[in-house]
Parts: sequence; C-alpha cells; structure tokens
Amino acid sequence: MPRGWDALSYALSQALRAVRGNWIASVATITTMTLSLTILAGFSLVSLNLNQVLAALQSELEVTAYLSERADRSRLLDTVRGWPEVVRAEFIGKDRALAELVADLPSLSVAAGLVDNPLPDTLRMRLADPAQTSVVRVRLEQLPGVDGVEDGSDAVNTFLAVSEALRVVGVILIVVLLSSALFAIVNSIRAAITAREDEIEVQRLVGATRNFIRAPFLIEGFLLGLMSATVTLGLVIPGYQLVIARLTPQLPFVPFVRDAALLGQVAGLLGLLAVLVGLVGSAISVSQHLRERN
Amino acid sequence: MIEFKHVTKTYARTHTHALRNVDFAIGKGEFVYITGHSGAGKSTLLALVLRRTVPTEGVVSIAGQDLSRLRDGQLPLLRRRIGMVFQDHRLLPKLSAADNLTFALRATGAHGQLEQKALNALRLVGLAHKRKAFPIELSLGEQQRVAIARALVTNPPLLLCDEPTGNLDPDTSWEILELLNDVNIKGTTVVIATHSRDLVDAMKHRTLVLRNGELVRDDDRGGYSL
Ligand SMILES: Nc1ncnc2c1ncn2[C@@H]1O[C@H](COP(=O)(O)OP(=O)(O)OP(=O)(O)O)[C@@H](O)[C@H]1O
Ligand SMILES: [Mg+2]
Repeated sequence: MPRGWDALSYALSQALRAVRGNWIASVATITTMTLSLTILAGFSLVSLNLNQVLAALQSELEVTAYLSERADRSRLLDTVRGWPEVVRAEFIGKDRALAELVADLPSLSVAAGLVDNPLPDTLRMRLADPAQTSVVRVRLEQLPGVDGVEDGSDAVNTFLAVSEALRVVGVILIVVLLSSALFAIVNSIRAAITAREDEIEVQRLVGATRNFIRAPFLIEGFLLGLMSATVTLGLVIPGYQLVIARLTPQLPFVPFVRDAALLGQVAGLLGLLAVLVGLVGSAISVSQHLRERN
Repeated sequence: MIEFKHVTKTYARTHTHALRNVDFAIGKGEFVYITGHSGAGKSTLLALVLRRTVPTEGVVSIAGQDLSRLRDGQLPLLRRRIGMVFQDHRLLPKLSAADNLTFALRATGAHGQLEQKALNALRLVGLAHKRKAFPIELSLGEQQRVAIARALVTNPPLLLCDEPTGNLDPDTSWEILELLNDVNIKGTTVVIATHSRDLVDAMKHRTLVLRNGELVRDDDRGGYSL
C-alpha cells in the first residue's frame, strides 16, 4: 500500500475512534446540525415551490387594453401583432366580454339583462416575456383609441414582494442556522482536541507534522457533517414526498416541484453544505486550539 | 553535534534566569551527563535542544543548524532525529507498552512492520514479555524502560534523557545506565540530565555541571561535584 494511503487510513481510524469513543457528544452535534439542515431544507423547498408558482403565474399573465368606442380595432390589432414582444393578440368585443363575465359569475346574469352592457371592447395579449409587461404597457397607452391598460402585474408584484421578503428571511435563516451548525462542530472538535491533549503533545515531541496531527480532527469534522447530511436527507426526502402527497388534493392548482433532477440538486447541495460546515468548523477549531506552543 | 554559543534563557513571566551565557559543544557519539541542583537549568537545556523553547540570547545549533531559524515545517524533522526520555516519562495511559511505541512510530511517519519494530525496541530494554501491559500495570522502573524504548524505537542519532533513573533503586538505575551505555556504544549520542550523584559516579563520562543556570564545570572524565 502507498504511504499516503497508510497515513490517511490511520487518520481515519483515529477519527472514527474519536466519534465512537465520545458518542454522546457526537450524537448531540449531529442532532444540532440535522435540526439546522432540516429547517434549511424545508425553507429551500418552500422557496423552490413558490418560485415555480410565480413562474406559472407570470407565464399566464395577459395584458388587456380597453378600447374607446371610436377605436379602429383592426388597425390596433395589426399594430400590436407587429410587436415582437407580443406572442398572441386577440380582439374581444364587449358582448363576448359580458358573456365571459356572466359565465364566471352567474349571479350577474339578471343584472346583465337590466342595464346596457357597461363593458368596453378589449384587446388581450400574451407576451413572450412577462418582464416586458411595463414596456408594452407604456407603448399601448400611447396608441390612439386605447383608453386604459391592465396587465395583472399587481398580483405578480405582490407575489414578487412576498418572495423578496422570503429571500431576506432566507438569508437571515441561513446565516443563523449555519452558524449554529458551525458552532456545534467547532465545539465538538475542540472537545476532541482537549480529550487528546496528551497524545497530541507526545506526537509533537516525537516529530509529527502539523498535518499528521490535524488530519484526524478534520476528518472527524467531515464525518460529523456527512452523518448529519445523511440523517437530514433521510428525514427530508420522505417528508417532502409525504407533504406534497397530502397537499396536492387540497391545492390542485399549485404546481408542486417534482422534478427529480432539481430535487436531487437541492439534496446534493445540502449534503455538500453539511460536509463543508463540518470541514470549516473543524478547521476553525484546529487552528484555534492546535497552535504550536513549542 | 550539539552546540551552545553564549546561550541565555530567561523566563520572562517569572523573571527566572534558567541559563546564563552557557557555552559548550557535544560531539557525535559522546556520552555526557548534565548535572546540577534542582532548578539549575538541566531540563531547560534539554528543552532548548528539542526546540520546545528558543534561547533569549545566543545560539543553539544541531548539526550546524541554528534552531532559532528553523522553519515550522523543519521542526518535525529535527525532532525525529532526537529520542527524548522525559522526567515524567509521558507514556499514554490508555495504550499498552507496545502501542505506546507504535503510536510514536506512526507520528514520525514510519511505515511498515511497526509492531515488529516496537517489539525489537522493547526487547532491547528487556521488556518484550510486557508488551501488552498498560503503564499502570508496570513498575516505575519498567515504565522508565518503556519510555527509553519509545525514544529509541525510531533509531535516532541523539538520545536525551531527563532524569531517567529518578525514583529508582540503585540496582535498577544501574541496569538503565548500562542500557544507555550499550546504546551509546552502538553509535547514538547520549545526553543525560540528572542530579543523582550515584549515577554520575557509577559510570564515569564527560560531565557538565550547572549552578543557577551557569555552566561551572565541564569535566572530561566526570564524577559528581557541585
Ligand atoms: N516554563 C517555565 N516558565 C518559567 N520558569 C521556568 C519554566 N521552566 C523552568 N523554569 C524555571 O527555570 C529554572 C530552571 O528549571 P529547570 O526545569 O531547567 O531545572 P532542572 O535543573 O531541570 O531542575 P530539576 O532537577 O528539579 O528538574 C527553575 O527556576 C524553574 O523554576
Ligand atoms: Mg528537570
């Protein structure tokens, strides 16, 4: 066997011995980390689904122009159809608009028979990219015969505000949760270093290199991260499946994220994060408590 | 091999002058006692050789290398060439005699046949049959011999012993001294710090005498006198 491998497997066995030997502390650390990671995972999944809803909402977004009595419908239709942003445009006469409204809200049918049709003629457009809504709106408002424009962006804006707020909360959550996970690791490794102080001293005096002394602790942090990731994913993956299975009948219009590749990415990222926290935490501990004292 | 040039060591925190202007050289293959009263500076002198500390003034060098200028990465290499037996032997209580040796071997980057090397070193100090014993299951003299075996297991060219016969009866002390003498005959440079008059008188070798941190005598054919 090559030498490097020999040293690594020795460091690994030392790390495993430490994890097992102080298993109560290890379990406590893994629990803390799992808790943080699970909340983080839950939050990521909620955000992911919210984004998906937002995308769906935006893709269904229509721009409606209200036309005046004297408007030249066919010229207007030709004009907007000539715009590159517009995917589809259709003219809806006021009679059809009323019929649609009554179909949506049957209680209005009586009233509709009593008064003159109050609805204007409209042009409905679907845009290629919802982000161009405001540009198109400004241009529409300048056309002769257009009395007003509605673009449904209020709903989207509300949604955007919610998702922005969620992002801020998310950043705070990430910082808080990752710090708590990090501190758990730092503490755990510090305890491990303290427990092995005599051994470390002997190693130093007989001429162990810095890396030789550090390796078991870094590996221990890595292992704790890995185990936390495993437990977290073991909880979150079935948990998520259960939740969307329960919610789908109640919220049939919500397009829940089911894309295995995307969810796999989230899981991979979470695992990577856990391992990274383990490594960084142990590196911090090691640099704090393993200074060469000579 | 070891050279002290005008070495002064002051412990700032306690304002202790542990060594004052100490000047000597020890050649390859020598057997040297460092003697002096308790607190005279013997352990400090050994700590400087092992570079657990650096001199306040002057230069300590080994094989021509100024230890104050040693880079951190070179320190392990220096220490691998030095076997050290500590005043408080520092065996790890949770490891058996043999495991204490393999533990040290691994730390020095040794590889292959570690158990065999450990057993050989234990055989050298006459304790092969106690290889599975934990330190607490060994007598003081046996613990001291395991500590010597640990210092020798890496085959270092230089062996430093701090009070290797402290607390031991004269017969056991003599055995250990003979052991160290054998090691020396095979080519290892041996430096022993001791305040034991009997030890120094039992086997005559070059003797450096420290008094309150000053080197007051350097006698080629030793004997104890302060
Ligand atoms: N780390 C330290 N910090 C401060 N003072 C120290 C330190 N180590 C030793 N001293 C002081 O330096 C002086 C020399 O100590 P040293 O341990 O070298 O003596 P010694 O000759 O080995 O004594 P002994 O025979 O009792 O082991 C003593 O006065 C001691 O108090
Ligand atoms: Mg001493």
